[in-house]
Amino acid sequence: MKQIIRRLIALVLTLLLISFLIFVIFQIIPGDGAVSRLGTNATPEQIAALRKELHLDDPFFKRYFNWLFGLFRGDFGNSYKYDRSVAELIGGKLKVTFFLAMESFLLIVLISLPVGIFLGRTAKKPIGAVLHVTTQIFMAVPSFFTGILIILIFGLGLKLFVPYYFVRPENSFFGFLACMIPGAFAIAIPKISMVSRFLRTNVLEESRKDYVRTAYSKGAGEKHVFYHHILKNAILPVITILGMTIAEIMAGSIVVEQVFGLPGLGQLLISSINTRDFPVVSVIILYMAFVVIVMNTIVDILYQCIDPRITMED
Amino acid sequence: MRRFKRFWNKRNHYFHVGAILLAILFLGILVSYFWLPYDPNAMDFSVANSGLSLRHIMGTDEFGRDVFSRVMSGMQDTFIIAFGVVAVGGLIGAVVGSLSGYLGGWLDEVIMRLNDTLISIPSILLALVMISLVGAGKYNVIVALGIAFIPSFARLVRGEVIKVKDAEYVRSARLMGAGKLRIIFIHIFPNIFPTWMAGVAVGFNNAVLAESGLSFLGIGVSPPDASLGRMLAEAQGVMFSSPWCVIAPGFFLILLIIGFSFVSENYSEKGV
Repeated sequence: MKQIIRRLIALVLTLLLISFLIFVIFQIIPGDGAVSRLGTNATPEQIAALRKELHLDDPFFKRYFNWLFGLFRGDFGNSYKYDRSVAELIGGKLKVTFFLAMESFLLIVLISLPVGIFLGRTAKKPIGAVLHVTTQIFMAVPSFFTGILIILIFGLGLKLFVPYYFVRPENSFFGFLACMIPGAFAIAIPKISMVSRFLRTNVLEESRKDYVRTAYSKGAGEKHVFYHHILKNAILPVITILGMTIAEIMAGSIVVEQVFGLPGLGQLLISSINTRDFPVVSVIILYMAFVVIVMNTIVDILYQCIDPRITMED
Repeated sequence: MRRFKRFWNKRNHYFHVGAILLAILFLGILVSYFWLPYDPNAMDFSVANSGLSLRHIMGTDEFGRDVFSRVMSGMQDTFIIAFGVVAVGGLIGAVVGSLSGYLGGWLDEVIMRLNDTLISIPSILLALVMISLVGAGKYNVIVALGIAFIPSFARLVRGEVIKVKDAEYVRSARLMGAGKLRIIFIHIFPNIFPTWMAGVAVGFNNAVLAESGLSFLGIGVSPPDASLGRMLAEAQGVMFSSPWCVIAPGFFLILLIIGFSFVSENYSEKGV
């Protein structure tokens, strides 16, 4: 319990640190927000007026805390580029990225565990060796190229789905979920390889341990030993790896949304970077970093609850 | 030669396949600096969008540029950027990690807190932050990704430094009155060099992935530079009519990544 509380305090401090860094990077370093909004033709009076309106003349820490509390209230500021609030711009996109990430995560869990178990059980057979190399190759393919191949093979060749077809969630929620499945696969495939290889290594390591030999010498069957003794211990560390994939799903979704033309946060992020729309960029980056860090903490705590032998000291 | 033979025999087959693959690709890159079948940026509309043939072994794109020549020159950019990223991240990371590990105390605490925070964020996101400030371009990508790679190298080196900090040879060097910097860089660093090299192999793999991702998003290298990721992004528009324009750069990108990942696999299986 004490450890969990310490972990939560560390989480809050980390989040504060991240928000501070993002604030410095996007609000201070780029220079005057008023000038970039009004353009170079603005008179000094206009700039001074806008600076006042945007509270750009306030002291540094006052600006930071105003910005931070604004975030808590859901006031993310206004886009430089569009005359709309950042919250409005992000609102609709969030759903796409969220469900894309959820679908990829589900695919990773549902596919990598059976594949990893199979790899572990067939490690000494030829098929296991072939699959082992195959997963290594899958891991090397960047998710955007996986995406392109999926479009070419399954979209254009086998006609299993219509490339670049997007259904808005308001029209049909199931259609919306279905049209993102190819993209979810593109994100998931390299991670499925990674997680199943990790599980395979764990299975091989565990099966060399003494308790396995003891179980065999007591007369337990091969299947019983595998599912009741080895797998139980081998699967626990996978939870940490699954937690780590969340960060990579986030990173993957930025790229894959671009490949499949999905109007999510990633697409907004890239277009905002190109137009130097810093309020939008900073909120999206902050949001993604927050999700990753919060999820990592949750996974750590969960892991400790499941296996109390693990302590969270580094 | 005998040392090389011993080094080679000690490695597993993953390493052998990866090293041979990389050697061939490097040779190709080297040759492409002096000779290419066509100018990678020369347009020839009379042969636009032609498929594979003896004159254009990987076809041409919508402007009639030879895809093979473009892939080879794209590999140059991809490789140079990966090299720069690993150099920046690996060297600065080694300095930060060894200072932090050897000196310890509050400095170590502060650096490692910051490090842990940055490490949990995907490096492409960190690079995006920097690119959005400094803009796209070959050298900006090297700096942005290089900085994004510092934390993982720093953590790797710090762990190793702490392991050998109280070893006999370090203690005797200290007794002989060697300064801290001398101990770190003359005595400790050569001993953790193999681990650092393993990090470099993984780093190359990740750098190629990250660079191609950034360039694919259109915020990596800018024209006329054409890294493999950028070629993929440009070719996506014509991938239904001339699929070879995406297959060729993608194929070489995968070869490059497989080469690096097989070489680094040798280390990771040994638990380094």
